[in-house]
Amino acid sequence: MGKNNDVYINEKISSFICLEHVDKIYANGVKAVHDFCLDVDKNEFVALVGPSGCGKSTTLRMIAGLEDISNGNLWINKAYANYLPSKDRDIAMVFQSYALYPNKNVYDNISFGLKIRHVDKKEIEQRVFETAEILDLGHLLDRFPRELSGGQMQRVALGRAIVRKANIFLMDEPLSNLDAKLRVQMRCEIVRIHREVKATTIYVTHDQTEAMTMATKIVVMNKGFIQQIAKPMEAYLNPNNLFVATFIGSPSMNIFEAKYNKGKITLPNGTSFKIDAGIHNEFYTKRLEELNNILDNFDEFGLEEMRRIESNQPYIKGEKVVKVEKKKKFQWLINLINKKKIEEEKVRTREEMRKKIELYRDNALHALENEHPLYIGIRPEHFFLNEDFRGCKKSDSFKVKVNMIELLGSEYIIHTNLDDKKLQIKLNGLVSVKEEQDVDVCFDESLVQIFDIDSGLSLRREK
Amino acid sequence: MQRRSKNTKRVSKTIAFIILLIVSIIALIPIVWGVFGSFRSYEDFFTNSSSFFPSSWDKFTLDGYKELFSHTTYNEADANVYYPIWNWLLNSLIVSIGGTLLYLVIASLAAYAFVFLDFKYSNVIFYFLIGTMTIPGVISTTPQLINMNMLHAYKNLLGLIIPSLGGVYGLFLIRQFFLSIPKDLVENARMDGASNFKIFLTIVLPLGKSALFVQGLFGFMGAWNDVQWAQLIIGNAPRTTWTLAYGLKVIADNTESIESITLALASAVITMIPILIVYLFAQSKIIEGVANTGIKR
Repeated sequence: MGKNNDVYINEKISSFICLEHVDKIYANGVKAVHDFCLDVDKNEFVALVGPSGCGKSTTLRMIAGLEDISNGNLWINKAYANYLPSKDRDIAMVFQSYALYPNKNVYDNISFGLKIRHVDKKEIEQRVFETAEILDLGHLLDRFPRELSGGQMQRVALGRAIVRKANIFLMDEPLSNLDAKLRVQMRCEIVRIHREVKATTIYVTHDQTEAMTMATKIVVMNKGFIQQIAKPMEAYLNPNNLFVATFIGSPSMNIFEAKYNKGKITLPNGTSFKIDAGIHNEFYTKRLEELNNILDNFDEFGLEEMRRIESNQPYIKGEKVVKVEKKKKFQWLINLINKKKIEEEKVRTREEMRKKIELYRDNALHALENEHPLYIGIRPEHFFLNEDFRGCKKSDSFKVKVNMIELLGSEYIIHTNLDDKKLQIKLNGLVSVKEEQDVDVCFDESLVQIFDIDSGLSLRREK
Repeated sequence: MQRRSKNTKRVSKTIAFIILLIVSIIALIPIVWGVFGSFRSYEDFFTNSSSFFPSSWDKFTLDGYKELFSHTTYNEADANVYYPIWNWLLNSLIVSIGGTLLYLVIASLAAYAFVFLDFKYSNVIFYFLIGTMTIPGVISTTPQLINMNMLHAYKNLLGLIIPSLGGVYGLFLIRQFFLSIPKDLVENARMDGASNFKIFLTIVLPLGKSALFVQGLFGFMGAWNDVQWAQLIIGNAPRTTWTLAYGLKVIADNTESIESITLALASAVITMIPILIVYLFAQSKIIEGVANTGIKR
């Protein structure tokens, strides 16, 4: 590590952007980001994806320097960047609201950053025109933001970032204000620009389709925790936990409770299939170790572990993910008066949490030797009609009654039940299926996901 | 059903219009009486005091105005009727425009700090300032006089300008307007490398024009029409230091006979004219500013 003009350089950092155990705790005590660790290589396109309130925008703002980092380290191009002003981080940002200056025309909006940095007038003109050509804004340079459409404003916001020739682009849900058709168009534009400009890009979105189609690496977040960092296909095929499994993919993965006994899994309707018992035993042995470690260091890890387990749970669309308790007026006075009561309540809550973790540990121990419940996840597109199977490993077939059919043109989504649980199956549009019809279906066993009931973790999760 | 609701709307609109018309007429009566009265001769007043208008066209006269502008030069024999109107006009312009501009600079910078700068106890300080608005002006009169005396601003125009720089209402108005400016714009400018002052000048101030205009206008009108504080600060000063509003009040107070009534009315009309001109040109901006204050995008 060395010092270079008041900036600390760490040559050991191999990635272009490195976040080490970064936390964000607000003044009111709310922890928005927990232990965020991420390495971003040069020219990579990383998407932070998750539901509203999961901490992705907060993380982006910490990288941009618009929020303070409570704990942890941020390294940008090997330089320690926790306290570096935003303007010195070589970052260009595209905001959700575009943040175009309403009193300046398109030319002035794009050139504003260059003027501030006292770039030569001729060079400003050249750069602005080059950027306008890339984004097809040449005929709009003298217009004001109020005279532009949503897509045009979006391109001006991108233009402002491109003209700076920054090494890092940060984008905070730039497409969320556009209609569906324009969004698809702009997605391609952004990917094309990324390839042309070769800037390292961190892109925040709540739309998993955007993340999957645009990024080279996705970071799935929920309730301030990282759920999984992986390539899009990897997250789709091998989700780390229930949350990733149900968040990635549309329609959502079907999740059922099943029974496991010595390598055999039985679904609620009696259908069974075999899995490698070694994977199961390895998972629960490791889980036992982790839980024992947490119990031994309960004061340090207990609360975080409970919050982490909460964040692993399945994603329910529309669910209010973040509950922020409204602070009562004179709360500080109430706390002062009820100090003893609050302390007793804290101790009681901690005891309850401890008991829960002990229960999880006992369940893990039980799971190693005995029959126990598990969650099974099968994507709608991994179901097939019995006579039309096109996967790797065919399961036993079973009958289901078609309750409703959604026709999407090239595909059907069939709504049915497995026992009393809802089941969605995606079939090819050429297949002939009717409502109230009984159909024979099967699934690809090699693509089944298995999750622990207590923690929501996948038995096949990355090590 | 539709026809009935249309008719009901028409009737309610008509009733509202009639009520507003009556109220407007009542409000305008003294002003119309005063304006026309300033063009009447005192004999006409004597014989026809209850009428609005001169009794005939030949009773229409500018005597009141002539009388007002005939005492602008000092004459020892007529020291009591020395009215340096042009000095008063200049003084009023200096106090109103100068004071208002200075106040706008201070209030807008303070509002920027409260909205866009994250400093400790900013909320506490702001609410403390709001709290000072509950103190009646009368209570701070004596301490302010002592302050102005200490600052050597007693008996001169500075004594009229300095106290107005600490007003909180304008700061509150501008701050509320600045709250409606998206913080994204400021953050984006910061990331581009702009300093706080640059952001204030090039982004926030142009967007906050309406609020500054409204506050500027109200500030100007308040300073222009102020008599009470002017009386305390410059009442004992030479007449050339007086403002127009105070000077014309002295004229009106000294009118003991009906012969001087046209003089008093002429002085009232003269005081009104600048404000009227400013308001006529600026009324659309005022409405826009008042409507936009506090509305978020």
